[in-house]
Amino acid sequence: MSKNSLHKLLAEKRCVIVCGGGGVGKTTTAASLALSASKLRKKILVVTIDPAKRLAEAFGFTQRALEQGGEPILLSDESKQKLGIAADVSLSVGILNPKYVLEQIIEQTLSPTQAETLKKTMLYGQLSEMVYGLQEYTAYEWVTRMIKDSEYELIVLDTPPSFHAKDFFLVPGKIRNLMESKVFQLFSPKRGGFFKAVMSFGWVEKLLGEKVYRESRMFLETFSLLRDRILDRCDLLSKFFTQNEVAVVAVSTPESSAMFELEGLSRFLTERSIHLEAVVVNQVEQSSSALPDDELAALETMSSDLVAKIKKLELHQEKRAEKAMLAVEKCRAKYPGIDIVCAPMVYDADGFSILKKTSDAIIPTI
Amino acid sequence: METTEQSLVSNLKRINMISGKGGVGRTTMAATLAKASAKEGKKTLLAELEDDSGWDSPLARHFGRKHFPIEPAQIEKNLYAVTLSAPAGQENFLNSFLKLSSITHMVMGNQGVKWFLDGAPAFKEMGYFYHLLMMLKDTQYERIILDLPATGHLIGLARLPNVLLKMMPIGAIAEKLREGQSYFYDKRQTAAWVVTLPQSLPVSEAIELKESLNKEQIPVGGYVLNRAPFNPFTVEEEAVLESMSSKSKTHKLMIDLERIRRLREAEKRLSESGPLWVAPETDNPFEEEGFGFRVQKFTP
Repeated sequence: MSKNSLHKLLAEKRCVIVCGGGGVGKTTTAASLALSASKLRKKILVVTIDPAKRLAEAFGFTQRALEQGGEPILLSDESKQKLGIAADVSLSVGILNPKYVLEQIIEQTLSPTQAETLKKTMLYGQLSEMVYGLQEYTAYEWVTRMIKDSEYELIVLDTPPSFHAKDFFLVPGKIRNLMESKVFQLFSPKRGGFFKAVMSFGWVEKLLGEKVYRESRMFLETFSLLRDRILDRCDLLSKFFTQNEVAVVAVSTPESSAMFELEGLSRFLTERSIHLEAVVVNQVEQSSSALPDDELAALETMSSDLVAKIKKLELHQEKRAEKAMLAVEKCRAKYPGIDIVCAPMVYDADGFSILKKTSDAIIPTI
Repeated sequence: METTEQSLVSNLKRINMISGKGGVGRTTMAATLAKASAKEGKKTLLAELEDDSGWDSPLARHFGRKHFPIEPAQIEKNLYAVTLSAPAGQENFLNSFLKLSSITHMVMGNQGVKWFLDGAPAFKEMGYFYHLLMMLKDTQYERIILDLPATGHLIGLARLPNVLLKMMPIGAIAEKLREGQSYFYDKRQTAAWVVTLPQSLPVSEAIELKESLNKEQIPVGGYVLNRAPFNPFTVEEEAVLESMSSKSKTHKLMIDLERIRRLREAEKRLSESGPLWVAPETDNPFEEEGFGFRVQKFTP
C-alpha cells in the first residue's frame, strides 16, 4: 500500500493544523486524522471546536462534557473498541471553550480584584463575540500549553469556523494590532499620568454619556493589563506555524466556492513561508454504476416510467461525479507538489462508521 | 402541509437579512436573490459587512468585482451594492448628532475619539449598525438584501441595541438605537431568511438559529433549503424503490435514494418550524432559468 504524505505527517509531526472554509468538513477530517494516527502513535490529542453532535457521539462524549469543555477528555475503552483503537493507545479529545481559556489567562495574569473588576464590566460579557480572533487566540493558547505538557506525541488541531480559511493564520497580527492600538496603549498602566492627561476624552464622554464611558474605560484599563502576555504569545504564534514539527493540512470540497477559498489560502501560506503539506478534498461524489439488468427488468414490469426516471437520475449523478473528479484533477494540476487526498461523501447515519470510513479513505489501511 | 410553487423573490420584504452557517451557499443565495429582485424591476440594494482582513469579497466576486464601495454604487440595472463600514457609520451618527459636519470632522479628528471608537469593543458593531440604519432609511431602495457572514453577526447586531440601551436609556444614541430597532423588529418590512442544507446537522442549526432570532424578536421570513438533490420520483415511486432497498443495499442507486430521503426529512423538519423554500442543486444559479423566481414553498 502506498503511503501518502498524510501518513508521514501523522507519524512524524508534533502538531497537525487542519484548516479550511466553512462547511467543508474540517471537524470530521481532524477527527478522522486523529483516528488514523492512533495506528501510528501512542498518545494523541485532537482539539475540536464546537464538535458536531454526531462526531461527539462517535467519540462517546456525554452532553455535559460537550457543554463544559475546558480540559481534554480521554476516550473510554468502550469507544476505543468501537473505533478499533488498540488498548495501549490513548486518544484524548479537547473541546475548546474560549471563555474558559480566557478566564484562565485572566486568573493567571491579574489579581483577584482586577479580575473581578474586568468580569463585572458589561463589555466583558460581549467580549467573546466582539473581539475578532478571540476564539482562534484561545485555541492557540490551549495548544501551546498542551505541547509544553509533552503529554501528547501528536496534537491534531481543528481550527475554528471562520469566514476565510486563512483567518486562523492572521490572528497573531490581528491581536497584535488590537493590543497595540492607541486606545489600549492609552490605558496601559505603563503610561504615565501625563500622557493620559494630555489626551482629551471630553468628547467621548459627551457622546456616549457618563455610564458607557465609565464602563468602557474600566474595561480598557483592566484589559490592558493582559496586553504584555498576549503580545508575547502572539510573537510565539507567528513563529509556530513555520516550525518543522508543525504541519498544515487544508480541507476543501469540489464546490467551486471552496476551491476558490483553497486557492486564496494556498497563495497566502506561500507568501508567509508556511508550507501546506496536503489537501483533503471532502464530499467527493462517487460515480454510480447502472442498476443490474435483472433488477431493471423486474422494475420494468411494474412501471416503465420508473425505469426511465432511474436512468435519468443515474445520468444526473454520473455528471455530478464527473464534475467532482474534474475539480480534483484541476486541483492536482494546480498544486503539483502537494498531495491531494479524496474523501468520499459518506451517507452513514452513525458517527462511528462515518469516522472509520473517512479515516480509511484518507489514510488507506496502514 | 401545503405545497405550492411560489416565487421566493416576490415573498421578499423590503429589508432582508440573509443568514446561515458557512458553507451553505448563503452568499450565492444573497447574490441570486438580489439579481432576481432587480430583474423584477425593483430598485434593489445589496449590502454586506466590511471584512477588515482586506481579502476579496466572495459576494462581490459574483459581480466580477473585488469589493463593493462604502457609498452605494450601481452595479447592474436596478441593482446597487454597498459595503457597510464601521467608521462610515460612526461618522454618520456624529453628523446627525452634532448637526454640523465641520464639528464632526473636528471630533472625528480628535485622536482620543478615533482611538476609542476603533479599539473599544461594541463601538465597531455600533458603527455597522448606524451605517445599516442609514441605508434602511433611504427610501429610494425598494428592496435591501443584506448578506450576513456569520450567524453570530446577526444575533450580535440584533442584541446590540438592547445591551447599549441598558447602559444609556436616554440621549441621542438611545434615540438612534430605538430607531434602528423599529426597523429590525417590524415584520411588515423586515425578514431574516435562514439558508441551510438538506443534512441533519445543518437543519438542526437552522432551527436553532430561527429560535434565537425569535427570541431577539427579529421576524423570520422562512428557511431556504439550498442544494436540494435532483429527484425525479413521486412519493409513491420513492416508496416502491424504498421497498426494494433491502435487496440492493450496496447499490449506488441506494445512495441517491438516501440523499432523497434526507431531503424529505429536512423538508419535514423545517416546514414544521416555518415556511420553507426549496432551491435545487445547481452549478450556476444565475444562468438557470427561473432560479430564485420559482421554488417550491411549503407552508406548515
